[in-house]
Amino acid sequence: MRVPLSWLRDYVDISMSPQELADQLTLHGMEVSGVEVGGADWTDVVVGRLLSVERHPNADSLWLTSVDVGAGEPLQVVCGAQNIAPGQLVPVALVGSVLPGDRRIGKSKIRGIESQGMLCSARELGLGSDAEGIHLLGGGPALGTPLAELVGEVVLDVDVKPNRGDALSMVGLAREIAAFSGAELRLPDGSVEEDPAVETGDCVSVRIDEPSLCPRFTARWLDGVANGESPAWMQRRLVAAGMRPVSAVVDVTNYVMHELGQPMHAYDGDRVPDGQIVVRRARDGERLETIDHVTRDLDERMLVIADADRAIGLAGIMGGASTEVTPETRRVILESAIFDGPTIRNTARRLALRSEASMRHEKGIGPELPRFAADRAASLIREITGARLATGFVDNDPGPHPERVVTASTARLERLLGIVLDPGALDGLLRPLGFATKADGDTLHVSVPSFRLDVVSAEDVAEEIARAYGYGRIEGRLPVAELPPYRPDPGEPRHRVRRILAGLGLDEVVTHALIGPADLERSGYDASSAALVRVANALSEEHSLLRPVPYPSILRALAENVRQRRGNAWLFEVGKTYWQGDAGATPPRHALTAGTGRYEAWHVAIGLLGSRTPPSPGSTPADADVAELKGIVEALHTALGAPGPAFRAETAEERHPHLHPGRAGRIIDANGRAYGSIGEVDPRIAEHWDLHGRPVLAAIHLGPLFALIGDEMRVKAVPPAQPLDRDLAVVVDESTAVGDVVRITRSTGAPLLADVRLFDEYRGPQVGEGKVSYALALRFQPEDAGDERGVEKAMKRITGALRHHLGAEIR
Amino acid sequence: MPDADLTTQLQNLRTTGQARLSAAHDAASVDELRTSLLGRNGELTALLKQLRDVPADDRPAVGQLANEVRTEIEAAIGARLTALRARALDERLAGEAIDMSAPGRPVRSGHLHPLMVVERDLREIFHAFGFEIFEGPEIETDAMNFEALNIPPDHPSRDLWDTLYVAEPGSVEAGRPRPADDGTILRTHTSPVQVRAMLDLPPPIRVITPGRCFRYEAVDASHNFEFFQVEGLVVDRSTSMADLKGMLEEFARAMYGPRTTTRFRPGYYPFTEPSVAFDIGCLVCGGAGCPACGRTGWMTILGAGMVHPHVLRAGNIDPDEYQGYAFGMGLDRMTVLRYGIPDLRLLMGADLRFLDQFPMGA
Repeated sequence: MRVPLSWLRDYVDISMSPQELADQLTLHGMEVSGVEVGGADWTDVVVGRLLSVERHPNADSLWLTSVDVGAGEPLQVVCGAQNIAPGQLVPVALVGSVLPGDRRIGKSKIRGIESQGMLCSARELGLGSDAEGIHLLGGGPALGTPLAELVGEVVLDVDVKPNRGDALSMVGLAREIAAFSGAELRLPDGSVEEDPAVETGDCVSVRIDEPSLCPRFTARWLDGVANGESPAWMQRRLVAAGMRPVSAVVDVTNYVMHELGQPMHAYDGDRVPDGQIVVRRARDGERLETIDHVTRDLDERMLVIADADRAIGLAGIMGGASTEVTPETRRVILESAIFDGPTIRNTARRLALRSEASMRHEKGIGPELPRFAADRAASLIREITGARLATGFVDNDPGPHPERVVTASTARLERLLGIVLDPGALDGLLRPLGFATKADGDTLHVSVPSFRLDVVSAEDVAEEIARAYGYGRIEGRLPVAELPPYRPDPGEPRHRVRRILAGLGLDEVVTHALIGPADLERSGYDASSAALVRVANALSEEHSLLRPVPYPSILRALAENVRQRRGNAWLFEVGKTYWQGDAGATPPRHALTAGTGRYEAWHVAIGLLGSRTPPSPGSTPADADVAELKGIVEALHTALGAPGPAFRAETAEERHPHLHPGRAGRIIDANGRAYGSIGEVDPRIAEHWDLHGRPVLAAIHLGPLFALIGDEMRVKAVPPAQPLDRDLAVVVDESTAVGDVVRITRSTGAPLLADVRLFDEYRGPQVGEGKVSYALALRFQPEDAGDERGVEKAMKRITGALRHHLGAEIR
Repeated sequence: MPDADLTTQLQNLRTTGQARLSAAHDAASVDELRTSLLGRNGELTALLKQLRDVPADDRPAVGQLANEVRTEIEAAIGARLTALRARALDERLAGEAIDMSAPGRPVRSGHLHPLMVVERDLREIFHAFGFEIFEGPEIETDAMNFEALNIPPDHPSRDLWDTLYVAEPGSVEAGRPRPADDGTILRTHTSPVQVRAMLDLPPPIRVITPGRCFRYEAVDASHNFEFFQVEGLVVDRSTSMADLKGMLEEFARAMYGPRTTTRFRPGYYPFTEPSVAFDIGCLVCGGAGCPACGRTGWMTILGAGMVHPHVLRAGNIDPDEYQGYAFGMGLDRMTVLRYGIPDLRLLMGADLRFLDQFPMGA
């Protein structure tokens, strides 16, 4: 909310500087996000006196003036306004000055005569709506005084919290200032002079069909209104507060809304048949043209103000065009009401029509305010427009309204705040904010002022005490509370994965979980799948669904670097994938869900493009390939303390469409269960992403991976015997998976076999067509030194098994 | 006198042998010399054959001389070979000099993402204060994300969290997207995890809950529609606002250095009462006021407060018996502040020109 300081000063004396005031407001919960020194956008606009005003020799409608600006020769200025006369004090924009809207004033020739500046209207200075006449200045300021010193306004931008509707007003903020500064709060005058000849009840009637949505509706009647412009001081304040002056009646309603926080509406009394007002729900299909001249489609969730037949206003949001007050309006029905916050909020959102009024209704209005505000507004309209105010009110709930009392235990307040409260000082803290307290032993009875709808519990009272006491005075304590038992950190293994992969030379990326259908399609995935979790109100198509697979993210990350001429990028991301199934179905293992039938699970995705390191003298590292990626996956397992993974080719049914069909595999555990994918990117997909070379990708589900890590690691003693090494050359059909060769070797060689390493392969005439020879280095660890016999027996078992299961020939 | 003659010849062999060895300049010549001096058909053997002719009385002395000569020549051969090897090695090493100013062969050292470095640091700091980690789902229910946190439907405080709604299945495909009927949303903050922690863990509770959040928010240098938060929650019988203040002051000093200044001021969150905002002295200007802190000298790093009784009840905890505090901070903001990152959008890009600036040990 924009708060002109001069307006605030009507209600409270302020001795602090604007910046100090801003700091103090912030420290008391009314956060000031900016201090604007109004008129700061006028440079070189000064006070001048008109010495002479003569007809422009070449134009009947223009004047040639001579202006004394207190220094140097009088200036010759051409002016078109008709309200000027010699002797007047006027704002003069000097040559080189800048006016609001970045309007620069230079020396100019108007109809052949030089003008050394410009006389300004209120509109040109941003002080009001009057664009016709020059803004005449009163009082006796010295000539040449910068105008900003004279009428410049300091405006605070205050972020009022959503629970403090009462502070969305000058008086509300003045009350806060009075409370912390010790100054006195001056409420505006609410007294009225009523015309005994006219009774409000004879002119206006109100029927409320929805009492729960309209707890209070008050109306007043004014007659003999001359709805011209509002006075300059009022316009200036409204402009400074960010409102546009319209007409006296409308300006008064806006003025009082800003002053007191009560939204009001004025209807042209002659355009509401018989003064009959109905508060009801809109009818489905009903339409209303609002005063902004937009016709709106209503439905029965919305609350309207209607005459006997049709809607004439959207309750609490905006009036209707048909009953709008105009300069011709003579009679006015003044509405000051309370409407149901959620209903107003909902309607405003549905119609995308949020107004200053709706904002205040959403936050709630104290039950006593409507009538006071109506009196205040009626009295101002009467003064400004010369109207007669009818006697009395139409009011469905004149009160009195019961006082609300919150009871709190002092011990509990102390326990919450961690301070010792002096019972004698409590009242002094709360009274300036409008509360009254009564102590009864440990119990504190706090009478809540009617405008503080937010204070309903002991905790709310604690907050008021803390605000008034000052958070700065609460002494911080180091934690002394009881500690919960130790439980492991579920995120810690993920941080281990990050450190391991970074240690292996990969760079971590963090990308959006929300991706677009195009990302999926570019990666070979179906963007129409029913398993996709989509967003109803996506910010853009590119971020409209939660990624079901991690591949598009890592492909995009690689592509982003290729675009930046970085051909070698080894990346990884620890993130989630998301999908939906049938609501109520058993959640898949390792998946997280809020019970909505939508699931999320952690994975790590790895993408390698190019070589691990750039070439250097004597070393040209090879580009990453599937084997290198497997090495990284294996190293990750080793470092985590998980058993080494095995790999197998993907079958046609489980194919990952982003992978090369002949170079796509699964990462499997000892039981053959797959928990990851690995392979080379299909060249067509790589091309979609503008990736050159042969990127390789792996993704591992972290739930199953972490489940493989044993709770305890047992270390075996190192046997004194030296290990014994044997090489084994195995010739098999080319269709035989080398993984099977290694697996069978490992399982049949146990427990003597400590390690198996594939170190060479050969295809060619020596092994024959369709055959391949694999060379394995086996390392045995016997218990006793030189247990050649044991090793020979193990070798026999291994070769026997390889022959039996794979038809291998041993060389 | 043949024995005198033999003695002379042995003496000569001793002298000339040494000289000839000194003239041998490689191992092969030394080997040749060994053969010609000491070999089976060598000079010393030839002389020894004359020993038969030496009178028996002289024979031991001459024999001993011959042995001395042999030993000396063998020693001289060994010394010569050692010297030659040493010289050869010196020559080789001299030829092996490399340019020591050349850069090393690259070894790739990876990088951790700055967000995750700061997250890890937060975990460690709070771990030291006895907090454990608790995590919750990103796809949440409206009930948890809002209602359990004292934010009823159509309440104006909902404006603080612009929400991304999960679509009703099929509605997007049909061209009429609408929020899911069951109220599923993308969580707008990590605060619902507070409630999940209370439902899962018996008091005393002391958790932090890091994680990804989503908001319907236009993207600019300081806002993103996806971001990370870290929420903290303490529930026990007596933890007060003063404990919260002490905890956060320690945290700020741990995170931003021992001279960090802090302040508490009133704030508003529906799920805490009283609520506070926690500011630290501006890290750019040190409190004098600059554009980075909006000329206030302070930077808000988190919001906090005493857990609202409504929230405790939603977590199945009796507010008459237990109380506690909660706080929440934006990981992105903490990261941006710590490293002076000019634009928050850099964090969710993959540009290594940015990411490679963060060392693994950061």
